[in-house]
Amino acid sequence: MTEWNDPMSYGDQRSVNSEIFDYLGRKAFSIPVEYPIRINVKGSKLPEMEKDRIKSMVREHYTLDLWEQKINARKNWHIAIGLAVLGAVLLVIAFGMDRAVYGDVLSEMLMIVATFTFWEAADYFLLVRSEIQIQRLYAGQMATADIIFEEEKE
Amino acid sequence: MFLRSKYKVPYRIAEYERHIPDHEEYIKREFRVDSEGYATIDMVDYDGME
Repeated sequence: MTEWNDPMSYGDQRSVNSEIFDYLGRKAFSIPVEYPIRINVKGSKLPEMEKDRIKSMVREHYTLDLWEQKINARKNWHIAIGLAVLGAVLLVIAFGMDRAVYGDVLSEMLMIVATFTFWEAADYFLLVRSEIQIQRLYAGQMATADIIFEEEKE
Repeated sequence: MFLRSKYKVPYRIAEYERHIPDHEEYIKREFRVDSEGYATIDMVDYDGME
């Protein structure tokens, strides 16, 4: 028996059974993002209203995922820019202190911190960002998927 | 020598890799990619199959 609804969800917060998302996730894993996805439900005799409700709940689930990835991408951008600016400021202070008489040790320390900050900024901008973009594309691929209910069985 | 032995793909695996079917072909066959480029994921509603 196909359990479409999450047994614990209720009222306006009703959601689709997580096993269905697990299955879709497993299948979609091997489909590259270049291909748009169509979800074909065979043998369904659900009423039209119920079909529409399931379609909208599935889309809502993946749209929330896409939204989260979009927020993550924006957060990542802000962190990368913040770290780069902090690194630049620290470097300017370090160079400024280098000219002072007793600033050698502190200036060296600031330069090390600035280097580390730039390193982290590059890590966020290049590595973490690319990972988030991949997750965003996968979420978008599922959020834009078509869902079709076929009554005939094979 | 260390680098070669550690990172070179062993012959047996490299030979097997040559015979793996093309990924694109697999996707097109397995997910019935149509003329519009849509890949189809099939699901069964057991309630309707009874």
